[in-house]
Amino acid sequence: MSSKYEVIIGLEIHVELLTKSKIFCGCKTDFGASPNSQCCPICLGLPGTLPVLNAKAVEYAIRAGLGLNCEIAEYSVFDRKNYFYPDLAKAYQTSQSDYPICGKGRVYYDLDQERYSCGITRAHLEEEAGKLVHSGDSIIGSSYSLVDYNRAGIPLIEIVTEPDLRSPQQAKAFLEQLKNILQYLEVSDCRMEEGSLRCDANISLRPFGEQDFRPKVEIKNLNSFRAVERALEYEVQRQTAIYDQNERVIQETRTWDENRGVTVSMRSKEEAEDYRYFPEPDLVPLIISTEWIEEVKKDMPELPLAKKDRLIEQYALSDYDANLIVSDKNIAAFFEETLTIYGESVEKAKTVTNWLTGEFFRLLNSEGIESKDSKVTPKALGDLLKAVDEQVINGKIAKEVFEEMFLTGKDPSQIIEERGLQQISDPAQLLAVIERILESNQKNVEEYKAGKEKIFGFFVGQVMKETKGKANPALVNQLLKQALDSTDGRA
Amino acid sequence: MITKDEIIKIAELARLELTEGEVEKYHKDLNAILAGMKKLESIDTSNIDGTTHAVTHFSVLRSDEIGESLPHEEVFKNAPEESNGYFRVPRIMEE
Amino acid sequence: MDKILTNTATELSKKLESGEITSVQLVAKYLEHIEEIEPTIKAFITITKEQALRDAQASDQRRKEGKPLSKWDGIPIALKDNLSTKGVKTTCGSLMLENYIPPYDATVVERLKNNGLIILGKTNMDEFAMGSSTESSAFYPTRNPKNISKVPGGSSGGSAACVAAYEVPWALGTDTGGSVRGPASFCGVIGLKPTYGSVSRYGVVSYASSLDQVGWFTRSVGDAAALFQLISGYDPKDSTSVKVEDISSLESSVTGGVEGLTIGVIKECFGEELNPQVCRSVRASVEKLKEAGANIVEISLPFADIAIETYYIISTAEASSNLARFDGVRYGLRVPAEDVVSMFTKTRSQGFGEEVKRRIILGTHVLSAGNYDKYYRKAQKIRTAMKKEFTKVFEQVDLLITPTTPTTAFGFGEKQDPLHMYITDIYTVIVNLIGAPAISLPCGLDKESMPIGLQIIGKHFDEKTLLQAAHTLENLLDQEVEM
Repeated sequence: MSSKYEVIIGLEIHVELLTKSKIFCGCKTDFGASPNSQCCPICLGLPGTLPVLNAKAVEYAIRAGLGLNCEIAEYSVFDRKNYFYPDLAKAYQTSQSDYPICGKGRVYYDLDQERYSCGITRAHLEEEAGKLVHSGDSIIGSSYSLVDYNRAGIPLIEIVTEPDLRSPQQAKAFLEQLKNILQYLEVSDCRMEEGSLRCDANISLRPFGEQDFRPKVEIKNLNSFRAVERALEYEVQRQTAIYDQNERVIQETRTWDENRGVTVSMRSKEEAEDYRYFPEPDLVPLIISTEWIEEVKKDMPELPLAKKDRLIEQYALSDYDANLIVSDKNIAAFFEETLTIYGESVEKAKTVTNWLTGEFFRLLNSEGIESKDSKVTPKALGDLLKAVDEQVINGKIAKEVFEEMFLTGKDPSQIIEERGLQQISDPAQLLAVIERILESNQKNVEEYKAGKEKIFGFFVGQVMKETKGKANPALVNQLLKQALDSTDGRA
Repeated sequence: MITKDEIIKIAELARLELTEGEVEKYHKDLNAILAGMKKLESIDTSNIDGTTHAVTHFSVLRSDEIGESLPHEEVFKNAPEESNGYFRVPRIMEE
Repeated sequence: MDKILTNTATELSKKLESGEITSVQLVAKYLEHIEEIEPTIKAFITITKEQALRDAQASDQRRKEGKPLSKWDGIPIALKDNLSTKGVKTTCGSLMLENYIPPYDATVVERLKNNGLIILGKTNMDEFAMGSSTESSAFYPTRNPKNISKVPGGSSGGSAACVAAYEVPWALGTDTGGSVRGPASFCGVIGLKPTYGSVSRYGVVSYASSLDQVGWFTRSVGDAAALFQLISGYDPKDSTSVKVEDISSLESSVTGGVEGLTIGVIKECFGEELNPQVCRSVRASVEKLKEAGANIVEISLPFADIAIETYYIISTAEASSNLARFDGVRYGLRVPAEDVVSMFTKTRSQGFGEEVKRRIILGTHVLSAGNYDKYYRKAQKIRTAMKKEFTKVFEQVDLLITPTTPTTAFGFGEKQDPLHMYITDIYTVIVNLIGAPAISLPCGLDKESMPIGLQIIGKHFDEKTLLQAAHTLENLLDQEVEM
């Protein structure tokens, strides 16, 4: 859809950090625990309690900041964001306002074989609120609500981007890249369905060439990356239509209605909420030493885009394959570990890629499990591929073996042994089979001799059937040809 | 300096509803107090950073270790209303 | 009243150690006296009689086995009702928390218990420590034991009164702008506010976090030093608490004199608001220190004149946020309503008293959009300037002296105008703004025989010099009484 309007999108992303305990107290952060079972006087906001900052949350924020190419602030301060809501135990959220832990940064991402980048305005540390459960279907019309403070106090980073994204597709691609980076860094599991990654989007349009920004719309209730893309696409159309009719877009917050596929205006408040931010007097300023940053840097893994570029360089992978491999850090690790077992070459990399993006992905899908939960090890796949190369088994059998490896976690050698799947490469053994087949199919032998060479495939099939697919295909071809070509049809 | 309407608005922000008498009284008191604070304006504070703590120190951190949570009965001992392990509140109307 | 009840904690400790008295006997005597005098004084909100007697038995048992937890094992104490006590109501003098029972102990309470002290009860206070007379308690005012028609001062009026009325040998309070020193002055006892950060605030229900500090009332400077040793020190649960250097020698050090010390008298604290009798009495004490060898200098601290305004911006701003959590969801009062916003509003409107609401409104105002820079940020900057000024002054002097309060205790209902009430703290708030330690000690009586208090201010974390001078003055004044 070409248009006369330039699309301008910025995102605000909240990400829960994977610390064992909460940001200001020792309560667990496990997802799905029974309500209010991971609460203490501090996260319940009991009078007199005080926060103490979790060092791991700071480390993860630094790590995330480095992954997003952000400046890490030597000096940062926590502030109180004051507002009343039943899920907010102290009636203020401890957050960061003027001095966030991460300053400006930039994230690079690929879309349709092009490389783009999006600026990061800032990223700051804060605490989660509790969770509300409403009687009935939704907040509207429910007669009461229930509060669970298990989530209250889980550490969060809020990442704010520059308005650098120019299409809903870019927004989605950026988000996928951001999620991938944070997962590579192991600072968050980024599960949108569990709420450990949440995203609000700001979007405005302006005629190409216009310098000033026009009123922006904030979209909330985006529960998947697909929803982000769809909601933004809807907004592009809606705002385009408004401008086409020479009308004005109202600056407001709209909520995404997944079922109807539209954004709906939330009753706009007369005035912006007055959060009365001020420095949190119960916490002291945070000073992050260069040494600490260096220490975290030392421990940084190779990030997805760098890995992608390297894999393409090193193994001549296609852009498509490289994307598939690096889009999941477990698959990428699996890929590289398999190659260390199997051997590092362009051909072998291609073979491993095919196995991973073919069989492995198929089985993950059909079994409905995630790559990290698979029972197959890189060593097992490497051994399996070696067995194929060494003609212990053939390619078709290998797929059977892989499936069993996938389901049971057994070694390929064990499966081959137990099920007697070794390739038959003993000429005497194969000749005996061939002789039997030729004898019982005299008619076909005669046809072959009469010049119907196509029937050769029939004999190969019969041998494979007889040997349950284990016959060495090259050897079968060779022996069969010899046998058929001899005068009396005997070898 | 500050109007009665402003007093009502500030009170609302703090989730307080005031009687007419209270509005009257706080309006008078606050204006007197704020008038007194006017003399701070004459103090030159350019090029001075703010102090949150008189005793300054930095970076107090704890290690990421799991501590004890409260047992269920302690969590709800003081709760005005409990329902199935949750704190219960009347309906939330989106503002 | 048994004469033993007038003993200092240090004297009682010796008697317990020698076996002259048991903890059970001591606690029983105090409880008996409390029963007799409480209907008049009303220093307590909760008296933990049964628990105290059980704890005293356990203490005696420990002493019998030769394993006391400390030399203070078995000595009673009272706590201001904003110090969280596990299983014992902690009301903060408010209807909001009338039935609130904390599931945990404040760190100071834990430290007292670990040293074997016996908690006799929780004392009355201005609601959420906001006040200077204890009249804003939601339950009842406490009477000044020196003259029951007068207020005991506030906000820790209950703790001051119970020490002055010999209901306990010592008691903990909290001091945000003078809430220990003020009532100590009004009731004629010693009141110490240590350096900000030297005593844990964990479990102390916050009024203004950056100013709040636990302090205490005693009948001798020695006892004040002893309590400092007992409960001060770094607490990993309080990010603003500080690792203090070794203070084990503090108790013995208070016997040193004032010879060679330079003591500054803050000129601005002897202005027109100061009652002439108070002025004379404080000046006379300064003379005594001079005779004892101290070098007395007059010091000008212009910032003292704007301390009270600065204080009311910062303290109410923090309070408006600290008291937001009282919303009727998790604990405390709930006034039922149809929807949650109405529930919040009704609960808070009915649960808080007049003064608390006044300060919440003021604090919300000074933080609100458009006012933040003018008030809150300005006050924070002034605080920086004050700190600098004090640092400079403390390069010239070891200690500073002011009256504790401009007048002696006033009558009930005498100060209806909040601004008049706020003046009570005019000499004390600056100490909280800069975080320094300070002590109030009785230095004389006015014509109505009401006690006059004198405030000595020390350098950060130099409680030692502060207590040393206070102890010297205590001796000088005692000699005078004996003469």
